[in-house]
Amino acid sequence: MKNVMKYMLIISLATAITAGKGLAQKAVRKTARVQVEYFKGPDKTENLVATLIVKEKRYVPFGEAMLYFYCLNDTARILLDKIKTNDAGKAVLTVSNNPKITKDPEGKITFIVEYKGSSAVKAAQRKMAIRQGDLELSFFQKDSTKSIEVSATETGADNQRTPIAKVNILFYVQGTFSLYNFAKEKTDENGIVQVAFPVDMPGDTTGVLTIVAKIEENRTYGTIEAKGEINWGKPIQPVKEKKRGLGDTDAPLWMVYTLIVLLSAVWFHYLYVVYMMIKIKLAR
Amino acid sequence: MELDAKATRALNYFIPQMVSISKSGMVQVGILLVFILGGLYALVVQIVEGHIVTGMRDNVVWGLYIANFIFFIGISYAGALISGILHLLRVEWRHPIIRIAEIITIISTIIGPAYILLCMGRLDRLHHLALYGRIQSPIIWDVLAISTYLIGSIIFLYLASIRDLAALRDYPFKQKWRKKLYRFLAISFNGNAKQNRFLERGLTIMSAIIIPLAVLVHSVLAWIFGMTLRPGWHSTIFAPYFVVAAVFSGTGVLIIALWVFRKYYHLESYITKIHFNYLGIILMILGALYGYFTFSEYLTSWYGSETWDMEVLYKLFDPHEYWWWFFFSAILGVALPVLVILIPKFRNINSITAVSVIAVFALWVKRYLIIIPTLETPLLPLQDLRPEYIHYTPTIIEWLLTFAGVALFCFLFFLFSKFLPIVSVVKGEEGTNYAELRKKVMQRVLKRKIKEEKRKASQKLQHI
Repeated sequence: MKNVMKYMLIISLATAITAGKGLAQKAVRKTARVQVEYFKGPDKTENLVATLIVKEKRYVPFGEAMLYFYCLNDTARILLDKIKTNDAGKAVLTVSNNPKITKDPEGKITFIVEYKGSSAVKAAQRKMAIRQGDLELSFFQKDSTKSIEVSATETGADNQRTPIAKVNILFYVQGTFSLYNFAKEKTDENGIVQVAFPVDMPGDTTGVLTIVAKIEENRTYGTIEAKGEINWGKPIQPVKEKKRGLGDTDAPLWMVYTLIVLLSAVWFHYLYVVYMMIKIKLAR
Repeated sequence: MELDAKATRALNYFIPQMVSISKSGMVQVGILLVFILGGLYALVVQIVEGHIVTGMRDNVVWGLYIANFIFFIGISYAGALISGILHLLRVEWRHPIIRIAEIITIISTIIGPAYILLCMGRLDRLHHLALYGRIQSPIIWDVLAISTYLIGSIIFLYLASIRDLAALRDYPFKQKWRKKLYRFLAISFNGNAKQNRFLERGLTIMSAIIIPLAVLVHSVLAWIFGMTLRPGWHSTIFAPYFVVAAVFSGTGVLIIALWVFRKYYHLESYITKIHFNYLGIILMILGALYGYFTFSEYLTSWYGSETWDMEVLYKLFDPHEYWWWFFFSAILGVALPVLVILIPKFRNINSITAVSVIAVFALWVKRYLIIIPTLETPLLPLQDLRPEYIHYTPTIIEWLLTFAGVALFCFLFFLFSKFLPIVSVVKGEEGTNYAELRKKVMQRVLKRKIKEEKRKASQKLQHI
């Protein structure tokens, strides 16, 4: 009886596993997810960057898929554009000067990005509301103190600019390969923030540094960036170009000497052996 | 020159073979000449029509010719290294194989560079190499190294053959030209003590100098590739890798040559199983070392995942491109010789020769794989190019010249065997007997120890 129970249990388990597999095979449509970021660059261009990811073992970018960009107003959603994702799963919509975009009375723009799905991938959409902000970056010097000032403003429904208060501004110095963060401050009631200029930072040969101020991934304003250049950094000496012997008309001396020593050593022995041969001939 | 009974017997055995040729021998030489004539025809076609008759184009500027060049320089290496080392160590079993090894060196050092000339587009500008050559160019190093190596190898072979040349001078040949030639080359050697001393000194110097020279030659050859920034070539281990590959393939060719001459001239009493066993073990060790270098080279490239390096690796690992050749050259051609020789049950003359053939062919393929996939991977993402400008396929002209090179190698070997006994007939007076020397040193050490023990014992006694 015990054995019968054991076999029953094994058969049940096997059936359950097989059935599980069968069920898994039925669920062929993959889950998709849309991520949306709003980005305003230093040149004041505004972009809405949508990324479509699909769940394989983990979420991976999904290319060659059509994304629909809408703007939501009081009554309906207006199609702004439809753009295919690239290999990185990204599709970029230029927001600046788009006449179809409308703001609500509070000055918010509401975007909807939609993926309509396919036979293999489920549909997905993401809604995002942003306010159009702006950053102005300037440099000023008071006595011997050098400072950076950033003014943050937003444009309302009536296109009037009002200061953005209590928002985090991050300050960076542009390096060769990436940005180096050196300060993080909140704006005051007037939307203004001041930080000391990093005068000990090495600039180029004339001390020019590129300063970047950012509102980063803010829920209300997205990412806004402002950039400015000034020669307040530490000038660095230009790297002296090393003389490359191989590219010159004349070979490097060490190479010439090595070659002479090696060849002389070998040929000296050859000549010595030839001398031995002469001695063999003479010693008959 | 006075010969002992063994040398006289050997001379009487070899001389009839030197002055005559059997019917089957004539057929074999005829076949070789057909291949050589085929090569000459291909050469004329290439000179008249230019390099368009080859598969080489703008991107793949090197093809079969350079693969053959590296291959022949590689096998030249074994002769120099094996004969040099065995001579320096006064290894007793070296005598029957040393001359064959030295002949391999010279013939392949002559044939190898000829492929460079075949690869060059403007032979009329060859003298520019001497007039405008730049010392900082590895090509110039190569020219200097190979020419110095060839001269050294000729001197070495000549010195090692003087005793036999003297014996041949004293033999009553019917052909006058032989008498004159041997008299001239024997430089009045009669085997007296003084002459033997000078000869041994010369041989020791040459065998000592030929070893670093051979290493240098193959390192320079590797640097031609390694000094460039091209994927698959720019590697710091290329010089030792090339050296090991060269000795591996060279030892393989030496084993094959021994097998052929053993069969052809019935040298069973001279070239015995022990020679094959010893050379087989050398081949096995070199094979393992070569396998280690190969693994290290490709692992480093693959792990680094540098874009263009990966392009080359993808080509090598792609079954639709070079995978099977890569598998043969880097895995089968290495594992098989090592395993067959490693297991005593499988180790015999024929099996050692068979795996040598596999190793030699694998190493030729390896040279092809070093050159072609890299050149088929231009560092610029070029577009709109005709496929034949990127993909290399050897033409019949290149194959004809390749086979002609192999045939010429065999033919020159045959010619040489008609001029000198293929195995050393007269043994020289050995300079330093290292076995004796080691015995003496051990005895001295033992005496010193005994003396010390006695001193300690007497001290103890005094203390008591």
